Amino acid sequence: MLRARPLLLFLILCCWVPALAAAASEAPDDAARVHSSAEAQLLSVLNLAQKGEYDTAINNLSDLIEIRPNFRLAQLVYGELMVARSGRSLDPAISEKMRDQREALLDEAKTRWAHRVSAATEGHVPASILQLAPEYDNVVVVDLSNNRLYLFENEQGVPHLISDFYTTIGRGGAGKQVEGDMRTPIGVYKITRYINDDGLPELYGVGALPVNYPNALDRARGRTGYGIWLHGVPRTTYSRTPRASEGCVVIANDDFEMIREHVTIGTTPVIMTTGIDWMPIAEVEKQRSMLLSAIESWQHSWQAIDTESYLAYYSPDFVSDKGLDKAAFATRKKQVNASKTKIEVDLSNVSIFRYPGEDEMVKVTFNQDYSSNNYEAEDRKTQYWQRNDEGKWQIVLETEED
Amino acid sequence: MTRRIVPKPFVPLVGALIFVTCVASAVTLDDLHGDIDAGKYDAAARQSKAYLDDHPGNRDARFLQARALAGQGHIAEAISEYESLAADFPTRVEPANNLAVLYADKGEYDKARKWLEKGLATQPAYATAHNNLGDVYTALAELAYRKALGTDDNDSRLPLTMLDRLYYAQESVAPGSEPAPAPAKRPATPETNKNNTVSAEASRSIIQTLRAWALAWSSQDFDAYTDFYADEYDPGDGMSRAQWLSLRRARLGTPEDIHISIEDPSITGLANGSVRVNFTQEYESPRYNDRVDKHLIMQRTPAGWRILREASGSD
Repeated sequence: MLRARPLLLFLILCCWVPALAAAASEAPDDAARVHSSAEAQLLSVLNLAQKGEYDTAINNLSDLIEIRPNFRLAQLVYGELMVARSGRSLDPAISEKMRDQREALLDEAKTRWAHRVSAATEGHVPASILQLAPEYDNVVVVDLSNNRLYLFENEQGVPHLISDFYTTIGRGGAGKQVEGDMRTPIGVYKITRYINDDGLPELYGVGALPVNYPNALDRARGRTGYGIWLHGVPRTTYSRTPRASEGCVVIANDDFEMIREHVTIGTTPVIMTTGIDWMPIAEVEKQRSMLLSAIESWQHSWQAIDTESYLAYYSPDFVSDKGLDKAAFATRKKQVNASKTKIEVDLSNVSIFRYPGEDEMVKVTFNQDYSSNNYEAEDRKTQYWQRNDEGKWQIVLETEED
Repeated sequence: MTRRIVPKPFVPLVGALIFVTCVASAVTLDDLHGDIDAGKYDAAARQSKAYLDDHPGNRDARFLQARALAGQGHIAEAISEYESLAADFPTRVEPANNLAVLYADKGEYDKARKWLEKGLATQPAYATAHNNLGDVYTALAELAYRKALGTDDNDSRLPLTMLDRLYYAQESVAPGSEPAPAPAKRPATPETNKNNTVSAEASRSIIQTLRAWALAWSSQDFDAYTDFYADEYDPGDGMSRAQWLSLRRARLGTPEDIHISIEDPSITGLANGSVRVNFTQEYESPRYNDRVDKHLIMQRTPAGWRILREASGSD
């Protein structure tokens, strides 16, 4: 297997995996369209090297590192090609620390290479995006297992891929639980603000987009920690190795700027997941209508002032954002509804996201316009629905402050 | 075709010196060579200029003038003269080689690499340029490694090896003869071979594979090493592939520092599309050193060039 002097061998080995080789020769143009340009150039160099066209590969790579001298992986590949040409190994001159760094860069190479053809295919969307309200212009999906960030735009409710990017995640991997575990959280978040270059130490590069970890579900699960951001890289480097942050999602500075131009501060959802399930749009529509009908029935039972049926939509484990459990919540609802002769509930901007890392759970966001004979309110609601053992969808968590 | 690395004959220059003092007015190319050889660059620059006044555009005098300029430290002028020589005589490797040396001195290794590759593409059999290119590749590899792996701590920086083995090409043609006679025996260009030609691209790829094979061996990376052998590889002596593998595993696995170097590879196309690569292999280890002529029969596969047979001797 691959050992200490990996990259040259990686280049040679690339062509021994027939499926990879076939995929590479099929769609290099598509790859160039989807990936960011520095990565596309590096991938085309690897592709040329794989085909044995070393002269062109070397000259293209030398152009690339002249433009981006801080693209460490490109430098390493160039170094390996030069070693191969000279026939003299540099290994004796390399320290243990540099060896580790080379291993990490090899991981970056493998990660980037694995995604040289985007996983996105026509007619398929991430299964986590079941319904996308018009209020969201864009969605960010981060595949933590494959170090890939996907930027979608909302085309009349259908997520359309704009571009995808290599990304670095936490040293501890995916699934943040406690402060200091160096992991990147799994969940559905939103971008809360933007911090520009001036307000940041150099480590964060050109800017940062914090997300709302820990969200209501994380808090209910007892997860701790804070300061999960999407951010750039220090200018001494073009990108960082796959697992190098303290839990943040790190992107090359040029990629960061492109993402920032698309997203809306305070709004854009960021779905952090391990692996992406690309689902045919028809299947997504089926799941969506199932969930919409559950939400609609909940809404109808409320409007009908049918408190028993209404409460049946709340799981026995339910917790309200005021900390009420199911029993306390039920008592309160019964009291309130006793004074009602008429309730109207209007829901708009309903979005539904299948919740990563949880069993049969969705996160639903909407604007709620409530009016009754004696009260009116407009609220922003976030609900977490989960399917119980009998197959019924129920609300496990409801909050106005996700 | 056969492509051997033939060292360019070193032309004795000493004889020229005897006549220098007697000839006052008419400068000869021999005089110029003598000056250059003796490190008298100021004199050489002056005299080459005088010679070029009498023989405008003379190729040898221009070349020597460029050398003199470089010797005087007028690097920009020397580069410009070599570049115009390289443009005027694109089939000569010497101007390209010396340009590469000057660029390498300035630390512009990538320019040096491109000039050497360009020169060697038209005149492949030139040992000095090959050696220079090897050094330039190593310097580039070290630079790239440092940028890829270096941290801000000084101790983890790779010390750069200065290029101290670069040699100036001596002269463009034999001295004292004008007009220049056709060089004695130039290696044939691929086009002039009657059969079984191996394209320049294929040659590059084969040499590349050969070096990677030697590197895998030197690194004692068994899997990488054996991957260079085709599935149909015949170990000879009636040995099975399994026997051969276990033998090689034992050899490569022995914990000692092995270094394999390849010299003078030459490639001949065979009728069935495979190629034969002759070369000299130097094997160095703490316990054993040898230097043997070897050849490999290689075949192009979807995975690249792979070894079908390996044998000692060049016949």
